[in-house]
Amino acid sequence: MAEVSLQNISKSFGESKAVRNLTLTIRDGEFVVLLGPTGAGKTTTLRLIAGLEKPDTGRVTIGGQDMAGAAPAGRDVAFVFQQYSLYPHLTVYENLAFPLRSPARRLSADEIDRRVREVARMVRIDHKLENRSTRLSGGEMQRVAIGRALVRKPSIYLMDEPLSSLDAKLRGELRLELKRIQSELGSTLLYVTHDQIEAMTMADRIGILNDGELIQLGTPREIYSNPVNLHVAARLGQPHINLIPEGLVPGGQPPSGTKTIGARTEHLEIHAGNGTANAEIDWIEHLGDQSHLHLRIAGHKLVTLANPYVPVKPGDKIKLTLKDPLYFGSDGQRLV
Amino acid sequence: MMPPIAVAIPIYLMYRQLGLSDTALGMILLYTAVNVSLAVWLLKGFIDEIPREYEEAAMIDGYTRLQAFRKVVLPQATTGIAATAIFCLIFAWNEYAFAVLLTSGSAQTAPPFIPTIIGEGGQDWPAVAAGTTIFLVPILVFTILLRKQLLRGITFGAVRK
Ligand SMILES: Nc1ncnc2c1ncn2[C@@H]1O[C@H](COP(=O)(O)OP(=O)(O)O)[C@@H](O)[C@H]1O
Ligand SMILES: [Mg+2]
Repeated sequence: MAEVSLQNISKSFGESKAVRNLTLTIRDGEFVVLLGPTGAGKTTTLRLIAGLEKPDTGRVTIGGQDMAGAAPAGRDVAFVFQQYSLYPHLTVYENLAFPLRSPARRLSADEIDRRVREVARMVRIDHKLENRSTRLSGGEMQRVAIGRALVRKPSIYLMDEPLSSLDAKLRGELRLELKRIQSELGSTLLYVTHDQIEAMTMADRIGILNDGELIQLGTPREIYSNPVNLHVAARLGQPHINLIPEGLVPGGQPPSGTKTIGARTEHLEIHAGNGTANAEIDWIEHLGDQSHLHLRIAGHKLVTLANPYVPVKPGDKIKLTLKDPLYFGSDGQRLV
Repeated sequence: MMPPIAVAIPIYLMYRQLGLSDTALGMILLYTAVNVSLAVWLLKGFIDEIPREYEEAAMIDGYTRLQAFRKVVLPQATTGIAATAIFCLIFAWNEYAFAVLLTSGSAQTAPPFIPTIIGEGGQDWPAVAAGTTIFLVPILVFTILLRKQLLRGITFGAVRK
């Protein structure tokens, strides 16, 4: 394991700038998640670290060593691809053994066998070692793909949305397993995703990536509670943060220059508003343990979470106030 | 690519000059040259279908580009290679026009030879039928030998059920 550092990395493909002046250090043993929508430059960032792309400008260092000119095989990284994760002509066992059998490593057959079986147990695929890799379910394939990275002890694991093709239940399970394995091994891991839940639950630090730029880097808590701008605020939170003009909802102390207020569920208070009501309940979505309340206030629509036993129904008038919401200026930057 | 027969006359003259007419070497060279362009073109199609992520994954796993090609790309291209091989074999085996033009005795192939059986002493249909049947056998055997490779390609696509 090692510290991996990107310094002022830029990469363009023709006219399109995939990565813009990215500076990021992943500390030894740290789990960093880059969160961004499709096209944000996540895959390109990983490929730059792996040596599959050359940066136009900037430096990649792994364990303090400049990687300019080093071939992928010489960088000692492990990569889990977004798709095409397994070699289809090999069995599960051979897929797991493949990185260990590389001519660069020269491990003994016993050593290879021991490590393959150990990792197969870790990712819970040891009962299917002799299966053809094409004869697995999606979740099993992804576990093998992660296992194929884990059989090595590289400087850094690079994972490109490894869970995004799976269904929600499996994603939840593998998320937990991956985090458990990473903390057990103390691995350095850079994980990219567009899924805010994966980012929030697994990361030591999250980097918010948009349009090739790193907008904010911090712990999940920092990113959630102290977003630097509207974009970051809008990336996190379920239901989606409500962005409303200043002055629409009473409460809070907006600093001067506030244009927009970001109000998440925890920033909105609902009171039975006899006489002082300022909002109306438009619709209620029952999720079981919680409900989504769709509110309307002076022509604006808001969504918030509520306890399902709150005695309200569509058409009810209520009083809505703000409690310590997020304030943004006209340029979209956060005001404190 | 143009129809090979378009160059029949220059090749005929060239072969006479070089002493390649009616030699096995001459026919091997000719059929190789004609097949190579088609084979390259077919194989490129098959290899382009294999996602480059596999090769990249192998390179990250510690293999050089050439080793990655041998370990990861080549095994996945077996279907394409088998199909191309059969195609090339059938072309060379069946080829008639050049064979008639360039061979007469010592290097004559089956397609120009079989019709000549008819000419000698009436119409010997049994001999023609036997000749054609024997002519089929090698192609049949070759295809049967490669059927595993050909079929594997078909099952490759079935990833998830
Ligand atoms: N090989 C490539 N050739 C041309 N454009 C590319 C290539 N790879 C990525 N891009 C472009 O760079 C941008 C970032 O892509 P990518 O890193 O794949 O984003 P993400 O993984 O976040 O979805 C996109 O606009 C994409 O079209
Ligand atoms: Mg991507």
